[in-house]
Amino acid sequence: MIEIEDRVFTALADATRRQLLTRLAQSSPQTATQLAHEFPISRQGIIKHLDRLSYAGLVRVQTRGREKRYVFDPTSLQAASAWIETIGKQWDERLQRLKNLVEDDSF
Amino acid sequence: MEAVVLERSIVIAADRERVWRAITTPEHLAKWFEPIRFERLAVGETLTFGWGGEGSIALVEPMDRFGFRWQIAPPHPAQTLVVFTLETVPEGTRITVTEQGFEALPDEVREIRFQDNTQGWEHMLDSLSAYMTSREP
Repeated sequence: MIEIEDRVFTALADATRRQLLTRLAQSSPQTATQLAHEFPISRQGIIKHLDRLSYAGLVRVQTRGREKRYVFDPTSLQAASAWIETIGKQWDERLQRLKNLVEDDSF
Repeated sequence: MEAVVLERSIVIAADRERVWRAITTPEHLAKWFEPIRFERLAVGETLTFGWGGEGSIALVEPMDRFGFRWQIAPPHPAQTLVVFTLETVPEGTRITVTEQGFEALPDEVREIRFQDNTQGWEHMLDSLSAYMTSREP
């Protein structure tokens, strides 16, 4: 589990991979060839990114004949997303308290 | 290697000197953040947090940037880097906080219970992207 979350953050640190994942979240399954039509990178480049997403557990691979189809898998994303949102909310609350403190006349 | 960076910011109706004081003085930090003890405002200085965690000052650029490392989930030693950046805007001072180093997630994190996701995955990806930016460390 811990290793999976580690991989999720590494996989999501790249903007192209986030876009690929968003595309797959909208419509799955898709092949690398189909995705290559929609992104300004080669099919080989797409496959490299999909491998990273697969390693992170964010997409699953279905093999049908010679063709690999990629399916969005939200399970590991849910844990990572909820965690990062929690940390973001904590910072929002702290910054709001900082603002209240500094803007107070008695500061 | 790119790093996942969490970024949040707020605009404060005060000048940079006031905001700088509030983020670098233990007395003020205790009021809006949490009790943090340190002897000197200098890079490498040890920080002791009220909850017992430890860290160290990583960056001191007066009136511009202040950064420190702290334990992400004590007692695990893994640390993230937090950086506050101040900039002057017409309304006063914008303070932006970034936190990074989540790739070194400790075991303890998995014990956090996550709430059920009732929103669509697409929305979740959008909000996740909004919280994060990609950049060279």
